[in-house]
This record gives sequence, structure tokens and C-alpha cells, in this order.
Amino acid sequence: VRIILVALLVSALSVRAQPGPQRFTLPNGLRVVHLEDHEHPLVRARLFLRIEAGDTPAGRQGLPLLFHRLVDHAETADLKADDLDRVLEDSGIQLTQSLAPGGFTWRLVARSRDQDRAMGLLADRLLRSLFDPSLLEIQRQACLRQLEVPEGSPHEQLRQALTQDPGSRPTLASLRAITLQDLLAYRAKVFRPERAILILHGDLGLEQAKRLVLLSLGSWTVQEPPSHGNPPSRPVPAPPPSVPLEAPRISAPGAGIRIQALASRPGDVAPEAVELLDLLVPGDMSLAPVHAAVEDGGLMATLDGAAGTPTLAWSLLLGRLETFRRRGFAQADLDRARVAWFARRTLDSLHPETQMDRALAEALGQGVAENRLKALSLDALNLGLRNWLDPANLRMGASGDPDDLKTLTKLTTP
Amino acid sequence: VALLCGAALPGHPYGRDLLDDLPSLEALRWSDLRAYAHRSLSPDRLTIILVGSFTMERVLPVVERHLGSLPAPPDEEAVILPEITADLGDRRVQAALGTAPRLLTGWRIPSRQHPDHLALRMAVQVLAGGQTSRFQSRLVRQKAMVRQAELSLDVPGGRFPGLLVAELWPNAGHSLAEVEGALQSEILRLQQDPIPQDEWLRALAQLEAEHLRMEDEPTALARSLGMAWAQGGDWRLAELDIQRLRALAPEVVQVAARIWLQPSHRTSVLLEPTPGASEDPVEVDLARVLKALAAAHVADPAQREHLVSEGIRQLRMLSPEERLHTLKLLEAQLAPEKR
Repeated sequence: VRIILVALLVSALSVRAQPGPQRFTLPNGLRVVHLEDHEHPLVRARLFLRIEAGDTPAGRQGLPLLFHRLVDHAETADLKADDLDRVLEDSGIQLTQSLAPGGFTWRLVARSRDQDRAMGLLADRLLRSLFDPSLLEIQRQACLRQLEVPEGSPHEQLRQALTQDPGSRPTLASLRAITLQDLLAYRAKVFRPERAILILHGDLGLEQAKRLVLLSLGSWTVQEPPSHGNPPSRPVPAPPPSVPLEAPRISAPGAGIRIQALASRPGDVAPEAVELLDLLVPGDMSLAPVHAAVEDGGLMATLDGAAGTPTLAWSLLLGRLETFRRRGFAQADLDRARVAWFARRTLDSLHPETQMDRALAEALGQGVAENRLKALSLDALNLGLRNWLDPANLRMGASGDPDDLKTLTKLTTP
Repeated sequence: VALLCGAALPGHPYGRDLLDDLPSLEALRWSDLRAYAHRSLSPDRLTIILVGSFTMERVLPVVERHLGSLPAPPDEEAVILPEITADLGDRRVQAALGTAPRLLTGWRIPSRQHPDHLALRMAVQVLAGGQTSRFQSRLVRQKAMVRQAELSLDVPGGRFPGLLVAELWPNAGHSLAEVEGALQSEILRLQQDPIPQDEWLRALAQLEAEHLRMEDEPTALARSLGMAWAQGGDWRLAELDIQRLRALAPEVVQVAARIWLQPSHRTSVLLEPTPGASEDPVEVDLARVLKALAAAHVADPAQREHLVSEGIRQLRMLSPEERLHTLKLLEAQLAPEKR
């Protein structure tokens, strides 16, 4: 028997004790979590900026999306958009921006020798982006195109349609109604240091981190919108919120049918229960042929069926979920999941991004406590599952051949 | 991509599409799978990559205990794979597939063990690595000809000679032929014009930073070591490659581009959307109206289908406004009840 073993021993085979997370707050209210790790000459930063449903005025659905695009493409006070890209790439700095229902996130990875420049560029993009009417029109057109001709495979489109809250889904009218004044007001409302959390990880000490954050983001103050020279917002009536919504259907000529159900996470399910369900749900055989997994948007259940069987697939998926919900898990499942969770937890220290996820969750008050996880009872776990999979909480949709989708016309979300 | 690999690497396992073997796939029995597992999942093919904080003394007994008793594989004759000459000639495939037009161009390139491979990796970085790359700055932003442009090395693998693949999605108003021409211009520029130093240093800085990020993430590191072993025959290549890249000269990249990115190594797949399946609502309406018009004037169904496809292909070259205008003109020719 010949076994080839390639072992890479990180950090000269030694387990280095890294200091625990350090927290500090800038005078402007920005909260910072610092995770020191000198294993590689790299610095990672993640800035999370919370958004709330009330931030978007009625009839302006799509405002966060348009804002996100504008910030991503805007020139800053010192740099044109192309120059910013060039400066970033000259130093191999990675800076990305994303938008999720809960907030905006900027992710930065740089060599530690470039940390000052990298944080300066993040601050530039964040605080000194210049919005102008021509950029607004370009990005508005891009959003409209995206709405009219969605990108991605039919499966991706279906997933996107389900994960987006129907009430905040942009429409052609709402996108067209957004003015520069709306965007500036939105910035003033949302871009506040006290709403943000910065996680810093990597090759920098605490004092160095404090200096770096103070220099780059210490001057962050609220940017009030100019009160003159801009046209007033045109009011657009908001859609009535209580109208039952038709399930999204994505046409894919010739394709088999896919039925998907998303159960968004209810607020009363404990983070510990979510972690354990994340481990238990995907492997549960009683759900077969439905695949289910806990994702960022909620619990997603998917059933792929042959062409010509949409109604059957729809009922089968609903039936499996309801049986699963009523049955719940046994004590042995819970014990097994706990063991798996602790095993996974021990590996977290290897993954910088996972450590940052954890630090952010804790800073947002959504962290998982080991003692609470140990104490979680089977009843609490099953109650969490029942609440989560409550039929009233399900959002359903389908993709497939248009002829198959037609037969689903009378079905709506439960 | 399967279509491209099939046309560019005929007869080679890299060029096989599973869909071509659907009947044999359906006829597979449990015993066939067991025999395959016995043959393939054998110790002589296995590499274990361990990343983390541990010592060899601690980990080796564990590996021995769990995997040391794996049975040795039976002696088998080595499989002889067909050798494909890189300059098979310029090949073109046209097909209707999916919902958006797309151009795939693949050049037959050597395996990872070849001395030119590293130069081609640098060429990929200069052409398509990052927002300031040539594809992004010229094809996507300046000319606005494509909405997305990607370049991938070692498709579908790098252990044997494979492909360097460019994948481009045209914007409305730009034909696949136009995009093909622009792609060829970029390749010629790379082959003929010296690479400016700032561009070279930027590409190198990105590769170095990418390497550092890879080392910092255990999963990426394990994958990189495994790929280096599987494709290059030596796990140390994961580290050596970056050192060799630093020593590379821009002229070497140009020479490699002239050798490997020439038309005789090239296969192009021009994918037009399946008629009626476009993601563009105007095109869906155009297909509907053209079908209705053709039905009124042409009796032969095959001829009708050809007319509609050809009409759609030509209309794609118009700007969105011109297409909308054409749609209105064509609709006016239909009887009111059919509009």
C-alpha cells in the first residue's frame, strides 16, 4: 500500500494562542471588533452598515439597490472610478461591496504593508463618493434593465425572486421615481457611524488597529443632504401591503419543473436552534426527494421534478415540509448535531472569514453561546422548527417550461 | 463549454460530454459502480492534504490507522490517451442554446507541466484579471460591446493539454461576429505590442496578493496543493509557481501568446438563443410576430423555421430602439387579431 501524504504545517507546527476579540468604539459611535492574527502578512476588514425597512420611503422600493450601485460606481472626492480600481489593483487590494436585506457590507483584503492605503480607499468609497445626476441615470437604466431582463439562470432567478421581500421588491415605477434628493436623504439617514460595525482581522496589533481606524474613519460624520437646488420627490402611492402575492414563476422553455419554498427565519428562533437546524435539516431522509438547507435568506426547500408534473411536485413539496414540521427531531438527532457543532467550532480558528462572521454575529447580538447551545432542549428545537415552517411563513415559486407553469396558475403562496 | 471541449479536443476524455453517453449511463449497474470505485479510489491515486496546526508524529498514526489498510490496486495496463496536436485548424461551431447570445473561444494549450504554461497564466491575468484588465477596460467599459468577459485557463483540466477559454456575452446591438473580431484584436495586441510596465506590475501584484490570500485560507490552500500535485506532479508547484512568475519577463508572455493563441489552435462556438427562448422580451415578441408572418406566406415548416431564425439573428445586430421600431413595423403587417 502506498499512500502519498502531503502535509503543510502551518506556522512552523506550533499552535499559536491568538488574543481574543478586542472591542472599542470611536468617538463618532463606530463600533470596532479587532481579531489579531499574525500568521500571514494580511489584513482583512469587514464593514457592516445596518439598514431597516423604514429607511426606504413608500413608493421608493429599490432605493437601497440603486444606492448600492451608485456607491460602487461613483467617483470620490480624490479619485475617478477607474483610478480607484487602478490604485486597488496596483497593490493587489480586494475591495468588494454587497447588499443584503439586513444591510450593506464592504469587504477588504490587503497585504499588511498596504493596510493604510487600503483603509484609506475604503473610507474614500464610503464617505467621499460623489453622486451626480448623470451617474444616477446610468445606474437607474442598469437597474431597470435588470428588472426587465433578469440575469442568471432560471434557477438563480427563482431563488432571487423568493429571497427578496415582496414588499421591498423594486418596480419600474418606483425606480423611475427615485430622485437624487432621495438618494442624498437616504445617505444621511443610513450612512451613520453608529449604525456600522467594523471587524478587523489579521496582522495588526490593537494599538495599530485603533490608529488605523481613527485615521481612516474617525472623521466619519453624518452627511446632511443639501436643502436647495434639487427637485422635490414625486410621491408614488405604495402598493397595498395585504394583497396576496402570486407565486413567482420563471419561464425556462424545455426545462424540467423546479418548485421551491422559502421560509424566512422568524425572529423568535434562538441562534443556537438555527445553528443546530443548519446541521440537521440538509441530511434528513424523511424530506426526500425534497432538498432543504438553512441559508442566509431562510430555510430553502427545493424539489426538481420531471416536465409535466408541476402540480404533483408542488403538493409533494408542501406535504413533505408539513410532515417534517410535525414530526420534528428526536433526542438522538439533537445529541448528534451538538457533537457535530462543537467539532465544527474547533475548526473556526482556521478560517479568517468564519471568525469574522462570528465576531459580526456577536456584535449584532446574534452570536451563539456554547452554554445556551448545550442547554437547548429538544422541545425548544422542535418548537423552533414548527414556527419556522409554519405554512403562513412559506413563500413559494416555480421555474420550468411555460406550459407546465400555466397549470400552476390557480396556486398561490400558502 | 462541453460543446466547445468536444469540438476542440475530439477523441480525448477532456472532450467527452456525459450527455453523449446517456444510454450507457442509464444502463449502469450497482456492480459497475463498485468495480469503478475499486479501480479508481485506490491508494496509488490518493493524495491527502492536511492543513492546520499539528505535528507529523501526531497525525501519521491516525492516517495509517484509517487508510493504511486500503487494498493495493490490481495491476492494470496503463491507459493510453490520444495525443491531440495543438494546431488542428481553426474550428467553428454555431448553435442555438440558452436565452442569451454568447461567444466561447478556446485555444488548445499545453498541460501545466509545460514551460509555457506559466506565461499563459500571466497572459490571462493581463487580459482578464480584475477591473483594470484589457477585457474589462476596453471590451466592457470603453466599447461597451460585451456585458461580461471571462478568461479561464486549463479547461476542463490542466493535467493534459487542455484549453484556454474566453467567454463573452455581447450587449444588445452587438453581433457575435463583432465580438469575435474584438477578441481577436486583443489577442493580436498581446502578441504584437510590448506590455507596458505598469500593467505588468499590476498583474503581478494581483497574482501575489491572490497567492497570499490562498495561503491564508485552509480550504483554498489544500485545493491549490492538490491541484499542483494532480496537474503538475509536484505539490511544491503551489509555491514555486509564484516565485517563477516573479522572474518572468513580459517578452516571454508575448512569445507564448504567439505560439499558443494562434488561429490554428482555436475553436469558436457561437451560441445564439434558442428561438422564442430569449430573455429579452422584445426578442420574444419579434420571434412571435416573425412566426406569424412566416406562417402566412411560407408553407414549408422547415423553411419557415429557418426564416425566423435568420430574421432574429439579423435583428440582434440592431440597437434596442431600432429593434423596438422594427417590431412595431412588423406588427403593423399582422391582422389586428393576431397582434
